[in-house]
Amino acid sequence: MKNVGNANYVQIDYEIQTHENEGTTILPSPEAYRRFKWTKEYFNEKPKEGYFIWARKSSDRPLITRISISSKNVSQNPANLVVIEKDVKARIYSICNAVKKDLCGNHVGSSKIILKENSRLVMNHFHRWGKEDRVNSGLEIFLGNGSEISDVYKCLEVPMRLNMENNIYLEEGSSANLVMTILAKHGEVKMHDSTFLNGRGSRGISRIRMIGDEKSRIVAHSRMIANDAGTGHVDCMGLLLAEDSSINAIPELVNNNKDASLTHEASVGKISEEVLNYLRSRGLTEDQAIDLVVAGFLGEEDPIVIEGQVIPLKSYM
Amino acid sequence: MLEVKDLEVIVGGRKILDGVNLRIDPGETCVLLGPNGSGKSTLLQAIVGNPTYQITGTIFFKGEDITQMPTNERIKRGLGISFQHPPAVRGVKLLDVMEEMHGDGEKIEEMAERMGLGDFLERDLNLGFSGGELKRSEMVQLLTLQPDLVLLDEPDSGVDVENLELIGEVINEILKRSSKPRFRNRSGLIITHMGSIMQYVKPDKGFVMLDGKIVCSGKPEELINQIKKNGYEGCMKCIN
Ligand SMILES: Nc1ncnc2c1ncn2[C@@H]1O[C@H](COP(=O)(O)OP(=O)(O)OP(=O)(O)O)[C@@H](O)[C@H]1O
Ligand SMILES: [Mg+2]
Repeated sequence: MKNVGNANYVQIDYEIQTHENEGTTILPSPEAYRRFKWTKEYFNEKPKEGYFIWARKSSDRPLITRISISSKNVSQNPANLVVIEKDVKARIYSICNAVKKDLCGNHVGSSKIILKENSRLVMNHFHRWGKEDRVNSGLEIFLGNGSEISDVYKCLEVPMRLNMENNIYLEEGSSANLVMTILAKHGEVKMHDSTFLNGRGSRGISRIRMIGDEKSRIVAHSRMIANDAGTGHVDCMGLLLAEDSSINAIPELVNNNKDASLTHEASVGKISEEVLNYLRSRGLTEDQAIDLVVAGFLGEEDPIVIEGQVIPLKSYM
Repeated sequence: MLEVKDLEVIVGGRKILDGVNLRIDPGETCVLLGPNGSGKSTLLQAIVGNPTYQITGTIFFKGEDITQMPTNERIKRGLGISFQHPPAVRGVKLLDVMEEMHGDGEKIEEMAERMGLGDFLERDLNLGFSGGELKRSEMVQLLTLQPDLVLLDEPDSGVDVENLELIGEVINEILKRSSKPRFRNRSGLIITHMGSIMQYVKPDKGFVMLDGKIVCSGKPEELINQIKKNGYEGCMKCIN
């Protein structure tokens, strides 16, 4: 197995390779579970596969993990644990995919991210699946005092069925910025995310961008729960491109503290006729206008850069 | 350049234009005057082909019947428009749209700088732009497009003195107004209420629209002075 693009954890079907970066321990989760007793507190059960990342020093070099399905009927069950030590800054690109469209894979992933006091993590997830795959993913993020996370999830090719559940817990002065972008075509997507503002001065933002194309259904339930004096914002935007697509956006605000402030914004609909007309008046065809609006809605790709070199995402997929 | 014959436009079940006839020759620039709600913007939108309109009558552009043609085809043939109220396009940058119009990178930046929009290229198109910024953004897009017939919907509304001059200069440039009349080949139709753009762009002809019809044409300065003096009521008396 060759190590494409200097990935730090590569799992293809069941085969695994790891490469450490300076100041960061990277191991298959079962090995970490054996070697570091303290990890037992975080793993819900003895892990079978998945990555363990323990960042002890800040580094400009991003960490890259790749979990791929490349054969028929593979069933993966990674349990991932990321621990960012106090004051450490890190960046992780996490890629999960099926390399072909018809592999009937099953991917059940659970991840936990622990940010110690004043640490910072920028996490980018890129997922790409085949039409016959089933994917379940659970993510929990624990933010210690003053820590920060930017968690960006993007999946532009969904599996037959995708279930996601994210829970984020914020302590005093910490902040979480979540952006999830989904383009669903021939598939069913269910997303639940809950952000718990458990500390004074904590800030949570959850933005969901979804596009429903042919034969798709998306349900997105995004909750912001204030248990202490924090601020939170939920923003769900859906774009319907096809007659046989549907989007169910449910932003929910739960405020248990009179000093907290929570807001939300939501809209689901097709591209406005006025906007299309405007773009057409600049010489664009209907299709070009739609493509431009959709591309804008999906946001820009954040390229992977290692030591100044841009590595196309494709090379990991 | 443009000939509109017996144009009727129904929007949302309501007849907005009621038999408009209009002709603009190559090299000619005209102003379109008329009270609020008289149908001026609707006429411009009909000329570029707003697909939500129900249309009867014919529109000829450069001798070709374009009445049933999709908007992008009309633009390809040399039509261009600036909107009175351009919509905000979330996620799409001014730069993206200008690139789609085949402007080359360096030129785009140069034009944006010139229109005082250097920092706007990376912003979402029209999102949160001020009134004057919207007008300049429309102009910079027309500069990229370089149309042969320019339809301008109130390019002077809400624009401060300096920017009015800048916009006037750009309109003159697109219309090649500095060339001798017989060498001019571009035409314009400009909607204005107060005629402030006429300080910089000297139109050849004026039209007055009342209630979905063009009721009068004449020398632009005279028309606007009459309207300023007697209002559109004066127009009505004059035609009846
Ligand atoms: N989509 C629509 N549905 C219903 N009525 C419309 C629609 N678009 C325009 N109208 C109506 O058509 C009439 C003419 O509108 P238009 O925008 O052409 O006027 P205008 O002459 O440009 O006015 P102004 O000087 O205020 O810009 C107005 O009464 C307007 O409310
Ligand atoms: Mg108008």
